[in-house]
Amino acid sequence: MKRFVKSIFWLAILICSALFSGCEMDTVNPNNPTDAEVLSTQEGIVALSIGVRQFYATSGIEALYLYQGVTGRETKGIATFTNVLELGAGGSAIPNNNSSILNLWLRMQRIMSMSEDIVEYAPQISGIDPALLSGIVAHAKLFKAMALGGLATAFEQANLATSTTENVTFVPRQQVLEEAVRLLDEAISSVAATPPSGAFTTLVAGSSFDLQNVLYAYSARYNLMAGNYQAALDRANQVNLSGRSEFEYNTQSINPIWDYLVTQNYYKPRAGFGLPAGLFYEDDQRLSFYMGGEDVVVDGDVIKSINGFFTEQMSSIPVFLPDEMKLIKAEAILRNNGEITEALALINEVRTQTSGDVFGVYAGLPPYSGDITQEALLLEVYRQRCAELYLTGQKVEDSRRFGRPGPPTSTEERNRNFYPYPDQERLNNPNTPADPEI
Amino acid sequence: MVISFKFKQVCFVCVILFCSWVYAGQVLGQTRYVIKGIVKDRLDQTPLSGVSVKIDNTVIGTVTNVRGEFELNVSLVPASYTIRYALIGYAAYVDKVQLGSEATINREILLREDVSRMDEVVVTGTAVATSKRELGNAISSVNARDFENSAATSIDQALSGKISGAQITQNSGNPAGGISVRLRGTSTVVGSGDPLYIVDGVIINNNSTELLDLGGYAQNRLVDINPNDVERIEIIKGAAAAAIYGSRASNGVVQIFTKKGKEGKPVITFSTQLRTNTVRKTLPYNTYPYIFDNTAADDLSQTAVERYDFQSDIFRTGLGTESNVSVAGGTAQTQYYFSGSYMGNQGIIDQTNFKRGGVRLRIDQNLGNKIKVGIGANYVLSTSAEIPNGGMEEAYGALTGFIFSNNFVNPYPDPVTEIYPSTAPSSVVRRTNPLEAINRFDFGQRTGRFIGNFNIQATPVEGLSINYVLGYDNATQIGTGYIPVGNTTPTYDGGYSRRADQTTYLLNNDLNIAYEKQVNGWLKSSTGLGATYQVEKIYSTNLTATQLGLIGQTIDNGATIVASENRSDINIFGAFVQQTFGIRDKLFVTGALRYDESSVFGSEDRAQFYPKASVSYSLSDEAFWQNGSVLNVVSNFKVRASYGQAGNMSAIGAYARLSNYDPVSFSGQPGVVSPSLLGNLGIKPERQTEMEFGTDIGFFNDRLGLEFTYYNKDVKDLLFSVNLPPTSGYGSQLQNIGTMTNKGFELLLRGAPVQKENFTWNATATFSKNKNEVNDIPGGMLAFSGGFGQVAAVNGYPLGTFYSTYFARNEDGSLLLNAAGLPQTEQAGRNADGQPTGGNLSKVIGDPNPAWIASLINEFNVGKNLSFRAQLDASYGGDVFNFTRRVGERNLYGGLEGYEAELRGEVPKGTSAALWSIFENWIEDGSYVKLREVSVSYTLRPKFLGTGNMRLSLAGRNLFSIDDYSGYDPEINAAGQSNGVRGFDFVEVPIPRTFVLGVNMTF
Repeated sequence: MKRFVKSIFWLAILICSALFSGCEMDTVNPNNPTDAEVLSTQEGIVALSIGVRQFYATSGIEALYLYQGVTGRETKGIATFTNVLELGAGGSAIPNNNSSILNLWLRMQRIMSMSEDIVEYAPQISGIDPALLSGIVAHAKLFKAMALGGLATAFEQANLATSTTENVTFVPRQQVLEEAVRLLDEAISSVAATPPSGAFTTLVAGSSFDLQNVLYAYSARYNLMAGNYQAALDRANQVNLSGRSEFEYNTQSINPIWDYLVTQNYYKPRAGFGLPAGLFYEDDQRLSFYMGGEDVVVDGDVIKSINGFFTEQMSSIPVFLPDEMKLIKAEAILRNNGEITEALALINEVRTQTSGDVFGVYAGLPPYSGDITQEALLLEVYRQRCAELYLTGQKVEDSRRFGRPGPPTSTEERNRNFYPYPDQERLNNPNTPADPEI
Repeated sequence: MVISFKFKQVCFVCVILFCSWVYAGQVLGQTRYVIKGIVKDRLDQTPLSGVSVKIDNTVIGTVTNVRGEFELNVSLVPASYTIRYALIGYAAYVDKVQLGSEATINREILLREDVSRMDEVVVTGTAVATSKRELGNAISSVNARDFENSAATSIDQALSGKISGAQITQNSGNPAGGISVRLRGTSTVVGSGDPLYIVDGVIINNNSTELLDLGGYAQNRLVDINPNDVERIEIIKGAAAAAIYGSRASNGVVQIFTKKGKEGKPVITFSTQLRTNTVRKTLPYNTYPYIFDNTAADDLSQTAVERYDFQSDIFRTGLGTESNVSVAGGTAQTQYYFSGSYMGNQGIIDQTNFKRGGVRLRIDQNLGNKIKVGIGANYVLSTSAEIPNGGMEEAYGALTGFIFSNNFVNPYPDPVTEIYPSTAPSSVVRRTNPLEAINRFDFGQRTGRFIGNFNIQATPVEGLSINYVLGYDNATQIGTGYIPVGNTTPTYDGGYSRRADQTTYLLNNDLNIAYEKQVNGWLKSSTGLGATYQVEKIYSTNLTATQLGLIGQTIDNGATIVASENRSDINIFGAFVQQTFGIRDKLFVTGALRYDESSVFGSEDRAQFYPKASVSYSLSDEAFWQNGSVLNVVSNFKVRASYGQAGNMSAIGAYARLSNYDPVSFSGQPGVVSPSLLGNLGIKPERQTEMEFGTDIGFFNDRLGLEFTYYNKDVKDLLFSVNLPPTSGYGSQLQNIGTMTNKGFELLLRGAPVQKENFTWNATATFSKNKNEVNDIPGGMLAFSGGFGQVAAVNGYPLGTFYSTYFARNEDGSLLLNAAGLPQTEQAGRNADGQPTGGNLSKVIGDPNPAWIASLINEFNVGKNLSFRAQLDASYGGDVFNFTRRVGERNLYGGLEGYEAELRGEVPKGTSAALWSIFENWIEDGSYVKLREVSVSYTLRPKFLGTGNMRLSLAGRNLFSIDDYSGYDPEINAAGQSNGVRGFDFVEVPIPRTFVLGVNMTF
């Protein structure tokens, strides 16, 4: 009897001590690095730099190119999901809670936030090589500028920076574009002052991304959008047109346009780039470059299947097309009241090109034969942009900039001028601006 | 951390002090006695077998044999002893014996059938085994007898309708269909609403992991436990009772006890069943032999077509068998129970099935009079052949294909090429041919699971019991899916292969010490002290391959392979103390405190205390009552009140408080992307505070019992995945910001209207009413992605309300039609023509939570051999979101009868397209009354079985439903066991009508 009680007594003590000593409460997440690890180490900052480019190339491009592709009538939504139907209907049928609009807004903000973190924390890493740092910071500024530029194509107003601590304020898109241009200027000069090291190329940029060239190209693009025509022209002239920068996809980061147009079948290209007759040329080789297959009529619209840079899961998407630079130059010259013949020559370079393009986009058209006026040539630049830059997220912006008819009078070339601000922003941030009328 | 460490040491010291306190007072000088006798039913004097006979404060005990006799040979110190006689379904009997000079004691005991079950002894949430009448909180219990003819294949299914305050929903009619159990409403938004399940002291995994996307349906792992092995189940429904289970208990606790061996020669039980499953109702399909030539509103030209009945090829009669064998027996020192079982059940969707085979072993061994050790081991292998249905994410399912098809497309394969045609009416988007999904796709799951427990029970001195349990639950679940190259799915023409594994490992160490003492003539004290250490490790791997080769099915055959892996590791430490004082056996006061630490939360917030207090007062034990005439009517009257808190630590994942960067790969380089979910190091477990008041009343000598409980559960620090302004750079963050209440009452009435020697009628009725309300949601509304954004938490409404677009109406309530005469959604304003404009509006358009649920069980026994049983379950006032009809009646698909009106010209062309976006139109009343169970059984006592018997039974399950619901079944939920998205009908498999013919032999 006594023995039993004694043994129980000791057993209880044994079990108790085992119980109370073995509780590990500070477990480490083996699945993901946390902010503390990412933002305070060189490895973390490098990884985040690759991440921000990956995020732009997948989620960012999906939102910028596809949703604006629907609004700009380049594609037609055929899936019956509410957000797709609302985008397709456009105008006032796009509510503030449309999930596509939220995605566009949120993803651009996330790109900004990641870029801001890199710009803030990279210089704090002790012992980081200045030539690596210069590349990393310039690369981050580029993506922040691309996010700002993306917001400016879709919304009337946007914030210049993100904040987790206070409600941000909003400025008109002109200022947003100026900020993008400023960031790119900073990046261009710092890269010029301290050329990024080979380590930057190996660790961050990879072989298919020429940072300096992309900085020039996007500076040209946003300067043009901002109305800084001379600066646009100058930057476009700095771009090496035989340089090839592209987003290279793999099986884990797949081509988002292919995913939604080929696999998921959410959207399909509209025949003739979705343009009304007279705005595209039937014999334009870019038609068959970008789309093919049989004509299928859905709700009275003719749709095709996608080609171009979107035929495979891992098809690379150009960061910019060289001919965009020619068209930027032509447009800048025309809008700056420059030499019309110079602009015409640039337009004809694009129209008649049949070889030498690094991405193989050829119009194969005869030289321009219409009126040689500023107005007519600007319209021709618009036609060329619509064809050359099909599905690059610029159609809505272009159709506005070229003063094309828009809603509420016409929905042929775009069915919404600017998107409404997402509910999620308005409900959580009282500074959210009033929605645009249409 | 410092504080918690100190606390652990304090606990440790307490345990030691406690042990040494009770260590005093050893007595020697034992004498040998024989205690024997017979136990009979008081009503008909038949001997009762299987009655447990146990001497208090010892581990000495036995059970009566088939003749009702028992005999205990014991060595004990001469003194007064309490012997307890207990048999499930009978009121416990307490017998005082004086062991003195007489060496042989002979007793005759008469047990009274406990119709009202008011004296049932329970152990869940209590320090010591306690009679229900002493408890300050409600507790429900279900015995094996209550569900022996239920035709249910899992425990949660069997519980349906058996207890008050529980809403048990079978979300899918697949043979291993997922089941949700909500005790007094849901208590969380982001986590699982299912209770904590404990089997023989082992905390078991009841995860609903979707290894494969089967359209929303997922098995919940309780399906691995064979209901045939269960002896009884105790359920406590809220914090008032569950506080000592701490931070895992806010959804309630379900404690399951499996069968044990009993002293005596081996008793062999064998049962076998044959079952049939059929679809109870199919959807009326489109039989109109024309289609429109185009979608232009003014062109009504039509073309003749042939219509096909897809459903007749999708549904079938499923057959099933189930066999169980068990052997139980033992000596006074050693008892054993082992069983083997196999169930194979075909689903009503062609090619689906679920098979479960398992063995269970349980051995209890006495080590002298004071110590008992036991082990339990259960191995189960569950496999299922699945056909995807539903369509919450993927569209490759059979019923999914059916509803997205238009039934003028001939679904049969080309006789020459054997290629199945896409059943889409237009060539732009392919639609899964349901017959191809059934015949060519190959989806399956397999789970191997071991649940084991080791326990030591000791009663070293009078009144003291020490109990240690080591529980272990380890399962490996594997899911595989294959869709061959060249198919009709919208997105996987290049083939699809999926392989996902999840290994779950749960370990719990529980030490409980209880001390019971009659302090003096009027005061009894029960003290409980416990500590627990729990580990949960869940590792999973997910592999998906697309662009497959032509033949191979495994991942390696894909040109595109996406792999992911996740590991989760959670540790929990807890300790509790509970004290009950019983005053004059009438008034019982209990107080308890639980301390918890969990690695899920940061060091600042991981330490949590949960208090509990309760009181019960048995008024009918007062002298004035006992001596008054009221006793003849109200034989038992007790009031009780209880207060408690519990937490919900399992609402979030192991690392959800951190900002976890997602790994990505790009341009051949590894990278990370900032998460959409911003970390919040300051989050803590949700905390529920529950108050309950109740009364238990027995009428007519306890032939009729009534249990009534009102409760109010307040959840504070409710975790929400709060939307952040996107300009923060993040999408959302978990915050302890919301509140939730569940108020309601539950009523249980149990009685024996007729109790004759050769005819008895027992009836049980339950009624439960719960009102859930969520508040303090930032922005007032939070949509759940799982319900296509149409399901939300809305301030002031119950969780899971349907929140979406609604009809534009004129002031008189009639529909405001557009120029074309079609209905339209309400928008922000009206234009000059009085038409809606300015963007669609949303509001609460429905609520899936029923206003009340009720059940009625009637049981008749004719003679000693024949019995009937029927159970009706009712649910009233819950809405169902009929997405199935929304799709099937739309012009683009149009396979359901509802679209015919448009083809016939009875409504304007374009009506279905207009209704498509008006979600209010698709909300239906999901109230129902179902004949859940009905059975008849006849017991034979053939000579060849000796003292054994044989029972033949015929049972039916879900035979009919009385409802106004137009879809398959108002009970199912395509979102599976989702907590927020309920009542969402999107071609989920309906619950079958089941018939079971069985034979059960005991010898």
